[in-house]
Amino acid sequence: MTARPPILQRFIEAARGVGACVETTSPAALPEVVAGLLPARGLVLVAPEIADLADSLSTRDVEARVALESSQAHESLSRAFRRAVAGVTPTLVAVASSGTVAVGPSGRNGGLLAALPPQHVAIVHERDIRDSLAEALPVVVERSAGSEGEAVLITGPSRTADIEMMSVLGVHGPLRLDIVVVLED
Amino acid sequence: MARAGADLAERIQKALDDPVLQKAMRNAMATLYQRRTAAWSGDVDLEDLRARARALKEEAIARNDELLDLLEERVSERSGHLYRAATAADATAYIADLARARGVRTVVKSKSMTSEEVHLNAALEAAGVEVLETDLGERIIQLAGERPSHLVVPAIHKTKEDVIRLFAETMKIADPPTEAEGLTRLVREDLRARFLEAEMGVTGANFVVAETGTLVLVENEGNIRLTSQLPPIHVALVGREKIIPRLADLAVYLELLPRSGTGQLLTSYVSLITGTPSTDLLDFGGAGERPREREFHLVVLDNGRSAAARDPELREALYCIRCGACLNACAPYRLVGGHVYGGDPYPGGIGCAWTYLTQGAEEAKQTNGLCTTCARCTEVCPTKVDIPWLNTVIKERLNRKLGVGLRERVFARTDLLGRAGGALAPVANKVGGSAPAARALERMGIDGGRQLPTYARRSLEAWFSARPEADKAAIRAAGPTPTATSSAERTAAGAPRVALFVDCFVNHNLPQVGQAAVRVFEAAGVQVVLAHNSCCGRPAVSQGILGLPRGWAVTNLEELARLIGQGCDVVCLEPSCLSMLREDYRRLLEATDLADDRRIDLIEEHSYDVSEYLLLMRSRGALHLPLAHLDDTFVVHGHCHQKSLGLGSVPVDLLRLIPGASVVEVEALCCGLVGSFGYKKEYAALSTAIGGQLFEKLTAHEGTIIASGISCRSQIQLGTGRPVLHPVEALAAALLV
Repeated sequence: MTARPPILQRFIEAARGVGACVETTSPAALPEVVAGLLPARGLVLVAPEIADLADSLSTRDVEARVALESSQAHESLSRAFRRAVAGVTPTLVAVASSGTVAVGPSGRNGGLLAALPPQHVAIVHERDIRDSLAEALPVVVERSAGSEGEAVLITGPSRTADIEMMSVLGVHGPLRLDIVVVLED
Repeated sequence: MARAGADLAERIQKALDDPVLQKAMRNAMATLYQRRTAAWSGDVDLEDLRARARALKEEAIARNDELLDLLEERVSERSGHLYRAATAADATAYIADLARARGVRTVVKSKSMTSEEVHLNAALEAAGVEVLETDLGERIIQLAGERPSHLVVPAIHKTKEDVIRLFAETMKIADPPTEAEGLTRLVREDLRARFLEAEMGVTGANFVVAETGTLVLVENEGNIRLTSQLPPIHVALVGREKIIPRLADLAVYLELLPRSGTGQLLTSYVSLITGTPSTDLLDFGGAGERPREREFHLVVLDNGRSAAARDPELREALYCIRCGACLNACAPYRLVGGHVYGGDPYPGGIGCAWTYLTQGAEEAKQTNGLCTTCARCTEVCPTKVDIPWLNTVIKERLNRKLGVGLRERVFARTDLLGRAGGALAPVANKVGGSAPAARALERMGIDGGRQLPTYARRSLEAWFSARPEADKAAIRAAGPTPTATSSAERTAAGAPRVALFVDCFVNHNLPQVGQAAVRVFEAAGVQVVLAHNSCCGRPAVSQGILGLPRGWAVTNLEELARLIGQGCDVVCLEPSCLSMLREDYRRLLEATDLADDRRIDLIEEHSYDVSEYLLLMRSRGALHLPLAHLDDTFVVHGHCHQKSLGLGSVPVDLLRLIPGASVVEVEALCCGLVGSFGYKKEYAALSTAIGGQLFEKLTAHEGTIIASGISCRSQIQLGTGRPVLHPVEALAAALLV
């Protein structure tokens, strides 16, 4: 039996294989790397659990906002979603064999951030990568326990092959999926 | 009966003559089939997963009532509502009433075969609600006013040109995009606004987990996510067979479903929805006031399912996870599509069973005959549903209800035809090919253009018993011996012994195939006897006649167990006979006193395909054949039943033993004849068209065409004008002795 490539490498290859863009970063450089993936202009919505990332992005000339209804914001969350160009979310777990990331229901609006805007940026911690779906599923269940709503396993961008089996990306979900893997220090 | 047949023949012909349909199906079907084949690998043991998925479904259906109670508890704990709909009308009334009560104007909907089954869209529209299908394929179908023709790819029968024309007309666009990407984007933009204003989203579910009350939805486009998360009211309509006990079981299904359906390791999205969404209820300022409260309703549909769960012969239809892999492997479906080979709405062979269970016998009758029972679907089914057997059982029930036709009774008795035809061989062959005979056959519903099989003057049995070297006494005299291992494994202790299963066609029509097998075995030092068996029963089973073959199976259990007891292994020349012995006797006898007879196991263990057996001997170092060097090329067509038994590669591997020979295996599905299928008038054109795809591939190569099946052989000979040999005949021709 040949040596298996390290789990991180296998995850990156599998995720790229299904059409995701993958970057790796140190924890310190995360805001920098995420900022570099975003379009030059337009509103970026960030999941409430990683609200500090929204602040860091704001200092880098990104129009970023936490995805919560808030009296401080000058527009409603609904309107914000309507014009958002990207959604940034944390993930519960990732799967090396299929290049999958899981977004949980615990942080409010994470599911919408990964569904409505044309770009989804998913932050994965290296330690959260599992070999197989069978190993990852219990983690999804455990980490979303007690929260109602949708946990979603995401494998590449939204796609279809409904017209003559021709593969097209970006049907109703994001056209582009970026995965940023935060490496252990 | 004849009337329905004529209608069907017309619809088949129309589909075969439709160049747009043929183009769409040919490309798409080949792509889907190849993608599944390519995805059938990985770190996981997929065959083990199939066995587990099957066992899990068996458990889930056996515990269905109890799981439904548990699910109801879980759903109401999460402030959802579970409604048990006994019939299609109950389900649509509940959903339409809910929509009316909440002032719903617009429903966005994701793809759901169950909603097609109950005609939900019509019911909602009758209640004054606008329904928007949001899956791209379903949207195309909705705009075209059609029904889906495939379980996974609903608009598979349409070409890009069809879609461009359709969008131009229905969306009033003067200059529509011309590429799939632009067309897809158009639908994204058109529907995005509607998602934001809809008051209700209706989805189905692939699985519903009882212990947690979780819906599992598998998709690629993202429309299911928006349908379930954006509107204030989420209604999920699911058949009660979708309930599984545990969330932990999901990994098994998620490894199998996307691989089988689209050849993906995992689809873009798998949603696990428990209770109502935790996301904020966004208000995008649609036309009017939307409900402010989130609601979740789970409508669990029966509509024949609990009766099916109590029906031991048809229960396994409920194990279907609707991946569509069976359709992609089905030769008739691939040519005529789901609008001809399909009910309302379930397509293909599995669809016939579902039509029977949800709508009844009359509706199922329409498509039942299109299943050739070639069994290529069972090879790819992730839960190992025996679709050919489901169709056989339905055929028998239709026979009981409507009577068995003369044609079917004739086709069931290849044994009698063989005996009579052989006795009168020269006359029978002449009459069989005459114009008056052709007219008489036409009247019976048999295609007049078909060449009937010709009969040999001396049967295999007559030839064998006339051989001076035949040592029949020896085997009879030998007492029973222990049979823990196969005869091939015992070669060290002594010469192995083989009992050739005498099939009707080899015996009476092509004795040379049996003679070749005897020569090869004897050259290898193997003693051969002929089993005194009855017909295996395949031809009768194919007509939905099960009583007679049950009797034959009993005779054969007796005879074959006797031979096995004497140290013989049973070897079949025709894979269709072998699949009866190895797989279908169990099914045939499951409702009789013999269901647990251990001779069924014995025969399953000790029956072999001739090529398989010779290769097994070789792998044990026990096959030493003096073979000439041949510069010939063998062009091999794989037999459907051989493939469904997992023996697809044996003819090729066997022929590779001949020094100098090159062997080409063509990638094709069925030959199209499948016993009597191609002889039946209403299917004759389809049979020829299925064959046509194979002939094209075979004739692309020079050399000797090889086929293990007797009916494949006659179909290929007729279609290509070239002679066809059984692998064992080719091997015998290379013998130096």
